Parts: sequence; structure tokens; C-alpha cells
Amino acid sequence: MKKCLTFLLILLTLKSFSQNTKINQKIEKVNEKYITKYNGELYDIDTKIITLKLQKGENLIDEYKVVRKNKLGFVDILVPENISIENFVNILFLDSKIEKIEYNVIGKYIDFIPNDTERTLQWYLTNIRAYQAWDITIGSPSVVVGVLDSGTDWSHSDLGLGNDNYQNILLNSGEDIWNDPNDPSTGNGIDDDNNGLIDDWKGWNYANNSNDVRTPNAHGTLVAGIVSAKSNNSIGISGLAGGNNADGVNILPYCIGVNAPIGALIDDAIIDAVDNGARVIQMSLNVPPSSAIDISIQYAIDNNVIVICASGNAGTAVQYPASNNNVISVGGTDQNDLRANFSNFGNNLDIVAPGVGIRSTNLMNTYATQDGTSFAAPQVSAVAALILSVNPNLTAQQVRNIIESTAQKVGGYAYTNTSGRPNGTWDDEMGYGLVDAFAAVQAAMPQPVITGASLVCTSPNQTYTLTNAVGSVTWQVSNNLQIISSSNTNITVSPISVYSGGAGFVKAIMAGTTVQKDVWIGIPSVPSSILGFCCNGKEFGSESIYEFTVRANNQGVNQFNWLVAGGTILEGQ
Amino acid sequence: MKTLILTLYISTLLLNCSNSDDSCEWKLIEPVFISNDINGDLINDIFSENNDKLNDIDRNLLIINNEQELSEIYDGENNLGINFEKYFLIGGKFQTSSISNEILNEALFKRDYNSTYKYEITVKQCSECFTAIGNLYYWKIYTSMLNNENIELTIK
Repeated sequence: MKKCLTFLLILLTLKSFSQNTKINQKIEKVNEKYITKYNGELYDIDTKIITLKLQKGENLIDEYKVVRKNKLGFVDILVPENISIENFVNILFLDSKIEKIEYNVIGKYIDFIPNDTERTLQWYLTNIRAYQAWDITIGSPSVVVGVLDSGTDWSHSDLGLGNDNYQNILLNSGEDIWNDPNDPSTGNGIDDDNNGLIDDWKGWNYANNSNDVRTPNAHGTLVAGIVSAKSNNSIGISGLAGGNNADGVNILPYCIGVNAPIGALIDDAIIDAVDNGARVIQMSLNVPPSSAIDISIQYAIDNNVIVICASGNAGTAVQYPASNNNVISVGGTDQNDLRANFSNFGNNLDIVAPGVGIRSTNLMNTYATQDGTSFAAPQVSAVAALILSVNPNLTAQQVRNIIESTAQKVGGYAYTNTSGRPNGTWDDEMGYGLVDAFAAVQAAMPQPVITGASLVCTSPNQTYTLTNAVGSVTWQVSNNLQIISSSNTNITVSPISVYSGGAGFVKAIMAGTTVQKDVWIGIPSVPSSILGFCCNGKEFGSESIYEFTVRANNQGVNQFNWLVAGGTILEGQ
Repeated sequence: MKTLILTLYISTLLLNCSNSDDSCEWKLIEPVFISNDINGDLINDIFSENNDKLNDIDRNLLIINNEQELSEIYDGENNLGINFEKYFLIGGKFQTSSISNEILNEALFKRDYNSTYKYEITVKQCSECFTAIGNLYYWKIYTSMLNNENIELTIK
């Protein structure tokens, strides 16, 4: 017995020594997942495939299911379904043909980190998962956000033309450009687009009926910057939808009151924003209820425009117009994802976003930090704009559903299923929860699709096209195919050899999603029978038209040449 | 109109007083007329969002009786022009639910019977508001009180 124990101990020691030389990675099982640590970060382990380096001279492992191999002796094999990856590795240790074993570590896409100098003061970007969303989009100039506010300083170099010579302010293509782009008085004095507003090239000031929306009140400039200050342009802040050192989402600025909003102007500005192509209308204000505003909001909704409004700062019920059911009302949270004590709440609250210590663009080319639901709402407006940047075909209601259904249930509040709240659990202090830019953009993305032939023959090579790709693409093919060439949108493949036929696949791996097309390599087996009805209880020949079907066999055969004797083919495919 | 009472209140005498009692009436104390000697622009700047020292202080009402107390919120070289042997400065800042709110009225009152003082600010609450949290700033100069009385701030 003692001898047996000693032998076992030697075996275990040898095995341990052997393991140390064959594998350098340490994995552990956490919550049913295998993970490994590298440079202080945790990474998931692929439990389906493992990579081996074969001893010199070894080139085939009959007992394992090979997925891929390369000429330098590395082989990817499938982990059998009835065994854990840990136990499978233990078996592999004992195989003398194997020199090295490597777990497949699932990598991470690197979040997009803009170089804007004030970005580190924008704590809220982390909480609403902006960095992850920016891996997918940082805003398209085709999306316009109408900002109804105290005006916007478009001469701020982080919004308008700076040294980088681009701007995130919408230029009305229907109007003649101003002779001096920085001087609203140099327009041609003609209402070129016939909308009743003369020279409204960069928005409109309803408060003084002029084409200069720059006013002494910084509020609208702060709001606009949160939505679309120019991102990754080496200065200032990162607008949530500000583009990657190039045009981002466009701001259509309106002044509807300088020191305070004027209710009588808001309906006109909403209608004008809709008519000028805004897909999102952003309002950080409250006014007494008005049927004119209600009707203009309905006009926006009818024209597929999303209306977003701050809930108010009185710590009471949601104020108007945020309380209008057609409006997405936005409350404010603090750095701990708790409701800011001033943030209005209750039945009409839809969602929350950070509203304390929000850094943004200020007058005189400066930056400032402010509090209030005023600065929470534009974050949601920006997320709506990001959603439309990746999928402009969505309706206003679909955008709203996505924003609400993807919200983060933070803060330890009692989110519950609530009547009249169809987009998930809800709480009267937090609405559906904290807006999640990443989850919202992900949910909005059109599904990627690989198109191309279902059958791959030895010649010619087959090219597959990926539509709706998301970010950079990594291609994978089955082990009976080889990649001839690839790009982000196309891959050309051919069979490994004439003997490697059978089922195969072409797979595109993108940030957060994978899409696969199953193919058949080589000559498919021919369907063995033709199914058809004959005669319907009558003798063949008594009917004038018969239908026959070939049963599909999933081997890439989907077109047939039909031949008949003694009859005519009316239609065949 | 909402009433918000901020707690900076220590009464010098704890006597009861009925509202019907005439002796309970608050009497208005007039501020000092701003003369050319007083640097109003500088004081405006001290009690404004430009003054980081003031913004770092979490107090709604400051009673400044001398240069040392002034140094808590201002360390510049320019003189305010206030003779602190004769006068004192009341000022501060407080938050409101909107930047569209504004101070409608402000005044210092005294109740004679128990020498209680209150500084009352009436805020015009906007009905049409931009929803940014706002700060309102204020200041006034008064003739010095003999015993450096405590003052209650009331914001209406």
C-alpha cells in the first residue's frame, strides 16, 4: 500500500512537472465560466477549442477533432462535449506528441478613448457606458438634434469651426451661406428656403427674431456640448455623439428665451426643427402646460421625431413638458447612481442620466461644470442620436423602446413590473433606470449577414460579403476551407483540397456579435427522390398541371434543371 | 410660492412671543447707502460665481465684521472701501432649482423685544425655467450692531 502511494506521488509530481513545461496559463472557474488573468485584467477562456503545438515531426492527431492547423505545427482541436476543458487538458498532458498546450483566451476590443483634454472630468461617460458604445459609433452627421434652449455659441471651437476646420452645427442647406461664416449679418437678406426665417443658416433665435443664436446665457451651449461637442479633436470635452475628429451628430440650435424659456416660442421651434430634419428634439426646460406645445410635440411624434425633456429640479413631480406622455422625461443621478436629491420623479419619469457635476462647453471658448436635470436630458438625446446613427430606419417609438428597455437597473431601487410601463421594470425615482449608451446602440444595430453561395467548389474561389458589419471583423472558416483574401466586408475562400469536402462554415466575429454562414464544400449528394402528387385519385393524364418537388438536403444545392418526357415545363426552379 | 427656511439661527433670547403681540413685529433695518468710497464692482465680483473661495464654502449667509473674516472669501489686494469699525457686510449664495430664478427682494429685520434678527430673501420662482441648478448671490452693507448679533436667513 505504501509503495502504491509513493508511486502515485511520483506520478503526480511528474505530471505536475510535465504540465508546467507544456502550459504557461493558469485558469480558474468562476460562476460556471473559466477565466484567466493577464496584466491585471480578467479574460474568458474558450471552452470549445484548445490549441496544441505538436512535437517536431508530428503532423496528425487522429484521436482529436482538428478544427485548424498551420504549417508551423500549431493545431486547434475541439474539446469533446462530454468532458470539461480542465479534464481534457489533463489527458493532453499525457500525450507525448504534444509539445505545448494553450488555452484560447477570448480577447477584448479596446474601448475608444478620445484624446479630448477635459474628458477625464466627464465622469458620467463611464456610468452610461459611452466608451463601449463608441466602439460601435460616435455619431453620424446625418442625424440632427434640435436643441431648444437659451441659444448655442456656435463660435465655440469645440462645437463650431475651430482649428480643425469642421463643425457639429447644422448648416441649413436651403439657405445661402453667409459671406463671413462667423457673422450672421452677412447673409444675403433673403429667405432662400421660404420658411419665413431670413438667413437661418445656423439655427434661429426666436427670442429676438434673428439668425444669431448666440446669447449671454451659457445654458444652451452646455447642453449642446454634452450632445455633440467635437470628440477626439485634442481639445475640450468629448461630446457623446461628437464624431471621431470629424463631423459628428449635427446640432440645430434654437434660442427660445435668453434668461428663461418662453412657452409661446417653443411650439414654433419644435415645428421648425421637425421641418428642418431633426430626428431628436432636446429640451432642458419647464413651462406651464400648453395645448400649442402639446400639438407641436404630437407633430414631432407623427413625423418620427423623438422628443426628450428634463424632469425638473424641484424634487417634486415631473414638470411639463417632460410630463407629456409623448416625451421621454429624464431625471438626474449622482456619481453613485442614486437619484440626485433635486431631481423630479414620480409617475411621469421615464429614465435617468447623470445630472451632478457635468462638464461641458461654456461661453467664451471655455468649459464649466454644472448640476441639474438640464444636463441629464442631453445625454439621453445623444444616446437617441447614436441609436439613429447605427440604424436610421428605426421609428421614434422603436428608439424610445430601445432606450427604456436597455436601461441599467442601478442604485438598489425597487424596480418592479408596473402597469403602463411595457419596457421592463420601473421605479418612480429612477424610471426604467440609468441610460446605457452601449446596450442601446447594440440593440439598435441591424443584424449583420453573410451572403454568398451555399456551395464551394474547387474552382472558382467563392467570395462572401458581410453586410451591416460592426467595427473591425475577424474571419474564421472551417478546417476544410482556406482564406484566399479578406477585408472588413468580404472574404474569398477555397477548399483546402479536393478531398476535404463536406459541411463547413464562414464566420465573421465582430464586437459583441458573431455571424456564420453554413456552406457545403465539394460535390453534394444528389437528392434521391422527387416528390409529387399524381392524379389526386384520378389516372395520370387526367389533370393538365402537375407539381413536383425535390427535397432539399442542406448541401448547398438549391437550383435544379428539370427535364420531362412527354410534357411541357410551365415553371421550374 | 415655496418657503425654504435655512438654519443659521441662534436667537439671543429664548422668549415666547405671540403673533398678536405688537412687540413681535419685525422692523426693517435700512442698509447703508452705497457711497463712492465703497468698491461695489469688487464686492459684486466677490459674491459671484467667479469667486472660487466663496464657491468652496457651504454656507448661505456670511456676516463679515472685519478684514480677518473677509479673508475667508477674499484674499485680493484691493480694498472694499468698507470701514469695518462702522459697518458690516452681509452676503452669501444659495442654490435654486433653476437658473431662471431671481432675487425679488431682500431685507434685514429686527424684532425689538428679544433682539432677534432675520435676513429675508424673496425669490421670484420662474414658471418658465431652464432646468439647471442655479446659484443666487447677494450682499448688503449695514451699520455695525453693538453685540454682533446672530442673524437668521429666510428664503421665500
